[in-house]
Amino acid sequence: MSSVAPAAGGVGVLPRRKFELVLAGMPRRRAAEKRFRLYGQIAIGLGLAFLVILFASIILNGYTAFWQTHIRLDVTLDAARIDPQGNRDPEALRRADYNELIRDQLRAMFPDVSGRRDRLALYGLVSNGASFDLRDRVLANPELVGQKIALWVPADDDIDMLMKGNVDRSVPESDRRLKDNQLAWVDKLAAEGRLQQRFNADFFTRGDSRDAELAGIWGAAVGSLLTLMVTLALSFPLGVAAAVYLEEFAPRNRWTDLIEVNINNLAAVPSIVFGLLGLAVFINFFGLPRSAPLVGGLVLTLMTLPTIIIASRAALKSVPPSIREGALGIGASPMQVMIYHVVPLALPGMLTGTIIGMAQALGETAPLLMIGMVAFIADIPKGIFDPATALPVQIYLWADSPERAFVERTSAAIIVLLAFLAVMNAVAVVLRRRFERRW
Amino acid sequence: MQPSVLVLVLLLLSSAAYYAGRKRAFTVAQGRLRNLQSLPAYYGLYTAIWCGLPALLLLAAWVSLEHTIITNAVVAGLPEEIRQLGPDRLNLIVNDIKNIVQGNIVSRAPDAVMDAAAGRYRSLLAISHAAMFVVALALAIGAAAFTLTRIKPKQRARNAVETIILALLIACSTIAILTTVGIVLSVLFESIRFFQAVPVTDFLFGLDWSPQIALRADQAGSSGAFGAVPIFAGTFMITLIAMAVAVPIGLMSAIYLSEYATRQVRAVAKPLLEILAGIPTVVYGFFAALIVAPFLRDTGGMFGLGIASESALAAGLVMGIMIIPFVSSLSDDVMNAVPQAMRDGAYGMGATQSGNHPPGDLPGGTARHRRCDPARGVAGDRRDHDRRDGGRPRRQPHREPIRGGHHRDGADRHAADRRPGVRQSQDPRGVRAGVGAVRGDAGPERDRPLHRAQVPGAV
Amino acid sequence: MTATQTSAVDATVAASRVKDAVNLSHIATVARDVRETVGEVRVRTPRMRCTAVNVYYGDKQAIKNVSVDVGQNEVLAMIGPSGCGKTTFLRCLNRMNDTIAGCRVTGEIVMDGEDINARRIDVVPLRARVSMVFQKPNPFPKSIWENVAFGPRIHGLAQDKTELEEIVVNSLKRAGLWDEVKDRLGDPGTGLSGGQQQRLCIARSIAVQPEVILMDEPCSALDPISTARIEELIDELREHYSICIVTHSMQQAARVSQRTAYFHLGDLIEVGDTKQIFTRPRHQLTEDYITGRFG
Repeated sequence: MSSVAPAAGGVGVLPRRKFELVLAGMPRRRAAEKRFRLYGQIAIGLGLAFLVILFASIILNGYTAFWQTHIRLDVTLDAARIDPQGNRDPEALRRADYNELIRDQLRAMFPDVSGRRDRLALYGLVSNGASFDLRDRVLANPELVGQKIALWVPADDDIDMLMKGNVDRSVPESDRRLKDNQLAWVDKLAAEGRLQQRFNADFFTRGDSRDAELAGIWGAAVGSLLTLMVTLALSFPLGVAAAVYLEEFAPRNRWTDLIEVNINNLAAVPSIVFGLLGLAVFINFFGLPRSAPLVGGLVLTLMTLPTIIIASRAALKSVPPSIREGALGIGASPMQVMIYHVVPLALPGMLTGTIIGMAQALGETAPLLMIGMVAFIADIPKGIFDPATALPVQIYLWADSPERAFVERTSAAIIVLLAFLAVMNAVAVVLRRRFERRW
Repeated sequence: MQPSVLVLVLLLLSSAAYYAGRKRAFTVAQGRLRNLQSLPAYYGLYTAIWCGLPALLLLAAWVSLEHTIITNAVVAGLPEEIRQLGPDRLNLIVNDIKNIVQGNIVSRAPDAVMDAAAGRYRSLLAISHAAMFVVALALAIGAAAFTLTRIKPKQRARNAVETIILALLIACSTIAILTTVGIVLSVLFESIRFFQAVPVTDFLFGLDWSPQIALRADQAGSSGAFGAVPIFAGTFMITLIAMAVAVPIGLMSAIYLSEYATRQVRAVAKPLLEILAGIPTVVYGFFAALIVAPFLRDTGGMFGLGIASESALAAGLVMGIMIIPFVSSLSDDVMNAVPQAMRDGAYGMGATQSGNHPPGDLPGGTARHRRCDPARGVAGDRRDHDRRDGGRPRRQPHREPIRGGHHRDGADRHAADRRPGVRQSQDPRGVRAGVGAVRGDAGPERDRPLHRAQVPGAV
Repeated sequence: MTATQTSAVDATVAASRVKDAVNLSHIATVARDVRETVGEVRVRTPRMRCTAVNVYYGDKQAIKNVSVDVGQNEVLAMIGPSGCGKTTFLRCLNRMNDTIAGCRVTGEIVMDGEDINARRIDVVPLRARVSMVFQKPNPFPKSIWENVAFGPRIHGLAQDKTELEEIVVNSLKRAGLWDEVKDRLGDPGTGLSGGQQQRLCIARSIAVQPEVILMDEPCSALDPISTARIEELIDELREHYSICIVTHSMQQAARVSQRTAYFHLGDLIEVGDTKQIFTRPRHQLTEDYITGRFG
C-alpha cells in the first residue's frame, strides 16, 4: 500500500489517538466477552442438566422394577388333588388345579374372611401367575407332590406398589384400588415376615402381560434381536456394496448423481414414512406376515441404509489412493484392489457406521407401529415370521397403561434399552479408537 | 417342500459347482496355472454363479407371484354367490381361507365351502412348490453343467465374474432409488384414495380434526372431519417451541465449546451433549408425559395458568432438548467452515480479548466468532452479534468514519483483509491490540481492493 | 539428419524412422505447435515402441505426439521441468492413466506386436508385464511377506506354497532387501524405513515377473543413502528388465540410465544416449535445461 494515511490525520497522530480509544474500550469489551462466556456456560449447563434430569427421573422411577414383592405361602401339595392316579404323569400334573391350592392356603391363613367379595379381594393379593409358578415347580420336580413347601409367589402389582411406597394410605378408601381390609391383610402378612422384595427375574424372562407383576421384556427383547438380525443381515452387505460401487466404480454421470441425491434425501426422511412404505410394499404388496420381525427388519434396513452407506463411503474415502495405485501398478484388477486392499482397510469405519445405524434402528418406534409390531403379544417369538414386538414399542405400549406399576416397568424397560444402546455405542467408539488409522 | 430348504439346496449345489469349476480349470490347464487366463478360483466362481444365481432369481420370482396366482385360482373356484360379494367381504373370506391353510385362528366357524377352498389352496400350493423345486434344480444343474463344459484356458473368467459382481453392486446402489420411488408411490396412492373421499380443500383448510369414517349410516358421530389445520398448527407450534429451546442452547454451547472451553471440558461435555441425540424418541415421549407435563401443569397452576398435561409446551420443550446436539453440531460446522486465514486475520487484528485462552487452543480462538457474522448469518441468528456489541444495533462499518468504537466492527468484518504479516506477532495477547490499531489507520476502505489480491496468498 | 547420426542406427531403425517421419509430418500439419523430436527415437531391440502418443486431460493436451522406443535391458530416463508430462507419459506405458477420469490417450504403444491401447487388451495382464513403482513408497498395510506375495498370488504365478515362497524370497533378494527383513517377514511393510519401503515396492513389482518396470521418481522421497542403494539396484535390475525411470535429478539420470529423454511442456524434445545428452545436447532447450538455465 503506497498511500499511507488520510490526509487530514497525518502519520502518527491518528494511530496514537486510535490506540487510546481502543484501550478505552477494553473494559467494556472484556465485560461483553465475559457475559458471552457466561451465556455459553449456562447453555452447556442447561443441556447437561436436561440430560441429568432425564436419566435421573428414568432411573429413579425404574430401578424399583428390578425388585418385586413376593408373598410366602406354605402350600401343601396334596397328592390326592394333584395326582389322583398317583403315577406322576406329567400330563396329569399339568392339568391339576394349582390355583385352588393357593386359594385354599390363603383361606387357611385368613380363616375369618368370609363372603364372596372379600374372598375375591383376598385372592387378589396374589398374582394370577402364582399358580403357573407352582405348576412349573411341580413339573420340574414331581417328588414334591405330597410335601408341604414354602413358596414365594409374586404379589399383585397393587400390593407391590404399596410395599414400594407408591400408594397413599391417607386417600379415602373409595378412591383407592386397595381397600382397607386388603391393607390390613398386607400388614398382617408383613408382620409375619411373609412379604419380601425379591429380585424380579420375571421381568427379564417373560413376555408381555396385562398383569404388571407378570409383564416382562424378554418377548420384546427377542423381537428386537430378531428384527436387528434381519436388519444387520440385509443392511450391512447392501450398504457396503452400494458404498463400494458409488465410491470405487461409479462413473460420474446423472444416474450416479441421482443415486447420491436419493441417499442423502432418504437420510432425512422421517422414520414413520418408512413404516408407511413397509406397510404398502412388504405387507400389502408382497403379502409378508404382519407384526413379523422380518418386515420390521426390512423396514429398518431401508431406514438405516443411508447411514451405513454414508459412513462406509467416508471410510472408503479415507483409504489413501496410493494403496489403490500400488495394487493397480502390479496388475490387480479394480475388483481385486477393492476386495483385497480397500475394503479390509475401510472395514472398521464401515462397522462403526453399521453399529451406529443398528443403535438407531434399535431405538426406533414409529416405523414399527405402522407395520403392526405394536400388537399385544404375550408369547416369545420363535422366528422371524412370528408376531413380535420390539423394546421401544413395548415401552410405548406400557407407557399407555394406566396402572401405576407399569410406570415403573416402562422406566425399567427404558433403562434396559438405554443400556443396550450404550453398549453398542461404546463398541463403536472402541472400534473407531482401536482401528482408526492415520495416513 | 419349503422354499427355504430349496435355497439351502441351491447354495450347497453352488458350492459344489465352485469346486467342480475349479477342478475343471486345473484339468483343462493340464495342471499348469500359467496356462490359465484367470486364477482357477474364478472359474469356480463363474460356475457357481451360473449354477446359483438364475435358479435363485427364479425362486424369488416364483415365491413372490405364487400366492397371488393361487389365490386368484381359488377365488375363481369359489361359489358364485361368494364371488358376488364386494371386494372387502371377499378379502375377508380369502383371509380366512389362508388362515385355515396356515392353521391360525379363524374369525368365524369354518363351513364346508371354506374348507373345500382351503383344501384346494393347500393342494395348489403343494403342486406349485413341487414344480418350483423341480424347475429350479433342473435350471441350477443344467446351467452348471453347461458352464463346466465351456471352461477353456483362454476364457476370461475373472472378467466375467467381476462384471457380475459389478452388476450386483449396481443393483445394491439402486435400492436407494427404489426406496424413494416406493415411498413416493405408497404415499401418493393412499393420498389419492384419501382425497377421493375427502376434498383437498377440506383437508388443507378445514379447522376440525376428528378422523373417523362411519361404518353404518346411523352411527353416532358418523360424520368424520378431516381438517388438518389443527394438526399443522400443532406441529408448527411444537416446532417453534422446540427451536426456541434448542437454538439458543445449542448455538451458545457450540460457541462456548469451540472457543472458550478447555480441552478437558470439551472432551467431556461434547460427548455428553451428544448422548441427547442418541436417546430414542419414545424415551423422550415418556419423559415428557411422566415428568415435564406434570411439572408444567403444577408450575402453571402456581401462577394460575391452566396448562393441560398434553400441552404443546411439554412436547416442544422435550423436542427442543432432543435436538440440542443437532443445532450444536450444525453451528459448529458452520463456524468451522470459516477459513483459517480469516480466523488468523481477526486474531491478529486484536479481535481476541479473552485473556485466558488455554495454551493448546486453536490459534483462531475467539477471533473466530468475532468476525464470523457471515457464517452466523447462515445460521440465521443475529442475537449473539447484538449481544456482543452490548445490545447496540449493528453498524455499517464501511460507511462509518474511522473511530475507536466503530473500528472494532471494522476489524471484525475485515479480518480477512489483513495481511499475512500481521500474523507474525506471536504474542497471543497484548501486542495484537496495538498491531490492530496501527494497521487500522489505513481503514477498511482502502484495505478492500488489497484483500482480494492478498487472501489467496495469505493462506 | 547428419551423417554421424545415421551411422548410429542400423538400417531397420532407419527404415522405421522414415515411416515415422511420414507419420510425424502428417500430424505436424494438423498441430502446428508440435515440436519435432531430435535424436535417436528408435533403438535396435525395442521392448516397447511408442508412436505419436497424445494424452489429453479433458480439453488440455498433456502429451503431444511423442514417439520413442524403450529398449531391451536398458534404463531409459525421462527428465524435464515440472509439469512437462514425464509422469503422464510413463503412466501411458501400462495404462495407469485409465484410472484418471477424463484422461484420453491416442497413438500407438506396441509391445510384442500388439497395441496396448487396443480395446481388446486386458489391462490386468498388461500391468503384470509392465509393472510400476511410485514416487511415494506405498507398501500395503500388511506384512512384508503379503506385500510381495500379493502379485504372484493374484496372477497365479506360483503353483504351490513352495513356489510362492521361492518367488517372494527371490524378489526380496533381487531388491536387495532380503538380508534386512528375512527375520521379520511377518512385520507390517509400513513399519520399514522409507528406503526399505521403496525397495519393498520394487520387490513387489519384481515379484509379478514383469518385462518392463516403470519408476516414477522412485527416490524423490528418500535420503541420499537410500537413493544410492536404489540406484545401484536399478543398475542390477537392468540385466533382467527394461526400466523406464522418471527423475527430477539429472545426476541420477546420468548415473543410472543408458538413454535419456528430455520432455518440455508435453513435447519430447530430445532423446538419445545419456552420455551424449549430458555432454553434447543437440537441442537448445535440452542444453538450457542441462546447464540449469531453468528447471
